[in-house]
Amino acid sequence: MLISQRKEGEAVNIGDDIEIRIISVRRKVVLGIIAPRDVKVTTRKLSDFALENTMAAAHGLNREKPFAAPPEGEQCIVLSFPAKPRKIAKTDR
Amino acid sequence: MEIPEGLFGFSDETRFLLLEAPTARPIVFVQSVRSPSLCFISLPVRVIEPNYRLSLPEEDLNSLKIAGANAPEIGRDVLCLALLTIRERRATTANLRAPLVINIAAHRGKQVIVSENYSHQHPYLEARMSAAC
Repeated sequence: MLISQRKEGEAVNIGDDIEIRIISVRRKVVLGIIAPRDVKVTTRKLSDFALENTMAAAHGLNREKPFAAPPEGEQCIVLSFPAKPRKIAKTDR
Repeated sequence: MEIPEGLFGFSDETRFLLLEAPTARPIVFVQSVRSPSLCFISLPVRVIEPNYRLSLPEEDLNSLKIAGANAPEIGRDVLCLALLTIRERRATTANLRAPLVINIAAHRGKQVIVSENYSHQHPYLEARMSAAC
């Protein structure tokens, strides 16, 4: 890990097109980040969202629990928009 | 419905069906076409947060094939679903930070990360659901 001391107004550069600038340091550190459009800048790692999705899906896999999947044997409606909802056969899961 | 980029952690899953069961409304099941056992449980974001604001960067608008200068309107142009994580003995949470946005006209979706400060683990527990869990 690169650890670098910067003052307000100073910056760190990553590659040619990413700049992280220290805007202010008071109670909180305010960072300004300049990056190309295709670089996703987020305070959370994308892996956090992947983990959250995995946990969300875990329940979908668990058939013992209610709401795991569309209730068995119940008629479900496929939301096909903008056309009218279309009923399909009973779920067989 | 096509999600060309897949969902975070599920990049191979690009085709889903949205299902509603009359007894489980307003829950929307996001069912994978490829993997029968993969089904997410979701709620429209405004069921959870009535004032939910959705502003998408150009990159996301392009991949959703949303044209026009105006921001897409939830319910008219796009569906905006929060995936739910149901936890044992803890509040069910909704991912408001990375909702699944679906272009209604194009049947095309993307899981986006919104810049607003919503949580990806927004506590949400519907009484009906808590009774069932």
